[in-house]
Amino acid sequence: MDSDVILVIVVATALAFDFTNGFHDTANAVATSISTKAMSPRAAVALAAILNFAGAFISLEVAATVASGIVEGEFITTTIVFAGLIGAIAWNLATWYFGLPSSSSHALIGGVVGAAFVASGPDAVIGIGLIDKVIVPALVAPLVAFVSAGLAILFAYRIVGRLRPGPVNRGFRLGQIASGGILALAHGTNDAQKTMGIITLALVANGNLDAADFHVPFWVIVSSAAAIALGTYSGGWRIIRTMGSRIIKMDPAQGFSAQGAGATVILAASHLGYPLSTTHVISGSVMGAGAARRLSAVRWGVAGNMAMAWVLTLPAAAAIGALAYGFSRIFGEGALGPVITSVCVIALIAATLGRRLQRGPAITAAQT
Amino acid sequence: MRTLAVDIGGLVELVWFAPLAAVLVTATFSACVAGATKSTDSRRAGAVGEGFAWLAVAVAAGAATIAMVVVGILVIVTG
Repeated sequence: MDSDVILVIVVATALAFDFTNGFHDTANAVATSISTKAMSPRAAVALAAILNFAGAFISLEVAATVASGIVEGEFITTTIVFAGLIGAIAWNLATWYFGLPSSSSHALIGGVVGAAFVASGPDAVIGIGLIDKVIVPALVAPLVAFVSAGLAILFAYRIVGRLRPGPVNRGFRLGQIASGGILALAHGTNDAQKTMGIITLALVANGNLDAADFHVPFWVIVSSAAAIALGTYSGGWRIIRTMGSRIIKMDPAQGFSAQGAGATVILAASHLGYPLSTTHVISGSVMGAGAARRLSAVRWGVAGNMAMAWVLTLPAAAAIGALAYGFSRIFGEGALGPVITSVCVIALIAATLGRRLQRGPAITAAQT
Repeated sequence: MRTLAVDIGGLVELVWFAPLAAVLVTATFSACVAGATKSTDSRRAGAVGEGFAWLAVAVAAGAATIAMVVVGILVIVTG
């Protein structure tokens, strides 16, 4: 009975994480399209939501779950997964509050690492795995994207620089619909998998699925796809504003170069078996597209805040995951701990959002 | 003892391949936009032949861009 209750809580928390992943990462696909007026804000997030939903059905390679190779599998329990998800959700909400794009995958890894560390000690964490899957990609992704978008915009200006801006801008705006669409599809394919993997593993751990016949139930695919699509459609307007206009003011050619280079880097990396964070890639390519024109066009203060958020993602999510696990265990090994932790987290989020609403309306589509 | 599993070869390939692919995609689409713009301008100026030549450039570059998008979608679909 207790394990069934924990399973239900883990599934609900995983879907909540999927939702925050969607609205936190909406900016990756749509921010530049919105800022260059290639699409209206609502149309852009609607398209991204549809493509995220579709992307979730494309691939079902859940075997490689997000924390595999980073945390020893034998130490993983449903309570650790639950605490890790709490860490990731909390960090996603905190960075959304400050309008800072950060990697949802790294937040989830951090949360699970923190919870596993507190539960089983340092032996549970594979340090080399952290370097392989988190630190090296976090250094490579923004740099490669920066250079790619920088070179791309220089070539684009070379080709269209002396032409009438009217039709050129219209052309690049049209191109941004396709480049943004590919980014949204890639995001749905990659990120919805994490939630599907977590729910499926929880079902296996609870005995609802046979480990020998590992498959993702259809309801898990549909609910994960729906959660990430709903989150995307909600639109994380604060991060969209940061990505779309606070780093640089973009023209449509820069917007296309940033998105096109970003999409190309993500797909090239996937093709070479080297998956990168969409957030890090798009942030790097937006800065590259701006800096190639004029270094001072990039607001380096905003970029510095983003870099700081990236550095803090792993330890901060780990600390929250560890706290969530420790708090749950105060109430024993049963379902009571996760139940009370969930109620406390929901109350905390409601209170924070309530205070925010009292101070005035949040950033909306019209303000981006 | 575990060893670092970073695929250095893959990383080096990514460092040169990704910028090259990004430049190729952007330059091809830019050629499409430039061709379409110059085609319109030439025909307005009465240079119909030149206009059609630029239109051919735009169509070819547009087709190449669509082919690259299709390759991108295939990469996503096939993982």
